[in-house]
Amino acid sequence: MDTTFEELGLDSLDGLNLIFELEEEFDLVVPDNKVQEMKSVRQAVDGIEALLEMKAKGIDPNAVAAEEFAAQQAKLNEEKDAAS
Amino acid sequence: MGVISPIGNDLDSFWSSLREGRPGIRTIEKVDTTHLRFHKAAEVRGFNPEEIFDDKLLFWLDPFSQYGVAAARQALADSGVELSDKFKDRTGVITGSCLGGKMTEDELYRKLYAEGIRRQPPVAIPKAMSNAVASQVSMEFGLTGATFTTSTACASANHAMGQAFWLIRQGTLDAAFTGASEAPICTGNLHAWETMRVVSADTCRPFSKDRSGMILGEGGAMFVFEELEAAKARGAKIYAEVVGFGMSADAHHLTMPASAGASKAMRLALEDANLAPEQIGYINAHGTATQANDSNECKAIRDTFGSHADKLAISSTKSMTGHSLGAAGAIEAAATILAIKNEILPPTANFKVPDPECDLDVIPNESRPQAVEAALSNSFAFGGLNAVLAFRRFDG
Repeated sequence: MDTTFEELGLDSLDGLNLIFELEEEFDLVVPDNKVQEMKSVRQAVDGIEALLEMKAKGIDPNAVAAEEFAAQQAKLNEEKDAAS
Repeated sequence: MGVISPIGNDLDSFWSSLREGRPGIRTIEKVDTTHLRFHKAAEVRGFNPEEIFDDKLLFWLDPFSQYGVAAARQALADSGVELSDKFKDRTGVITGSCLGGKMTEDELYRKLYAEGIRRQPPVAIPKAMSNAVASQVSMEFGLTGATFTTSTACASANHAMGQAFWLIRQGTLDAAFTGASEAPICTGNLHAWETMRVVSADTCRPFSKDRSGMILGEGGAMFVFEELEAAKARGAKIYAEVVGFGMSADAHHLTMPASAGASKAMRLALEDANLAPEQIGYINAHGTATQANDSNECKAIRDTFGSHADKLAISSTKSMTGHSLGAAGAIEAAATILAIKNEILPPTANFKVPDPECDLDVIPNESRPQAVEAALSNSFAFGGLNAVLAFRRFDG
């Protein structure tokens, strides 16, 4: 389950295609920043399950992703300010 | 060399069709043309990509790439060249294509706009980019020399091959896989061509007084160009020598040609080749069968060759292969080179009525056994871009 796609011989383009197939199969949208987190079989399964939960609850994953991204950027800026 | 064309998917059948003056122009099968004013094209037939490419590779190949890569593989096998480390280091891939993966794009846009399908596989850009063939061939054969693609409408192929020739001549490369491919037969593109009113509803009759426009074609041709001494040293099978390349711009109009530009490009090709006009025995014309091109081209030939124009033979093999746009110059180079090697000049097919504005020897309908010392192959593109290649027979 922890085997990475790279270990399975898939390159980044193959990875993108895999995500596409998963989106088709489960009728989901995987936000760009989530794709980065799906590098192994386990991560992909966890990622898809989380998205399916959001779908069931009517939560828009892109909105969630945008919030997470904004929070991430804010944290990075804080750390930068703290360092300087 | 290698070729995939509407008149044959290998050199032997391609040459056979040319020699017999057999056009590959038929009712279009790839697309429903009910709503178009024209219904014929020269389509590649009997080409089975599943048999040529494994699934994993085919996934990344638009038809224009399928034609280009298949032709490149033929050229590699035909050349007998060894892919040594040195060869791979000093060889590049220089291709022409004016549309790239237009069929892939057309399908993607159709799904998006007509069916609202926004989720698409991440394959369109690597498939559709015009340099896809150059990249695929370089990857497959491991070639790391100068590699790029030229896009100059109907002159794309000649510009690519001319650059390959010059890069070898100047010592940047020892060899190049060069040529072009095109697959324009998709709904959107055919519709775009219809609006220009230059495609014939009849057939392709270059130089005939009753010509009524061009016929679209598709396919690809690829060559191995090698520095001459190296080729001789390894005992290569040499079809002909590439000896000159001439380019010019009309600076005139987006679609109407100007003969001065065409004759300048031919003259420059002769100068680059160190050939006198009298040494040219055959010209493979651009010969699209539009009213404008054919008379313009004949005037340009007279201007360049003077009295010798009446002694040379010209023909348009587009009368058989159709106009494959970016691939045209490559398919025509194959025809020209085979004509020189086999000492038979291919005809202008479908010729019916002589036109006083095209009063040159156009080799009507039947090929002609004739040895020539040297030949030109013309490409005169929309936007006034002219590129001419000069080939000379190689007698070993």
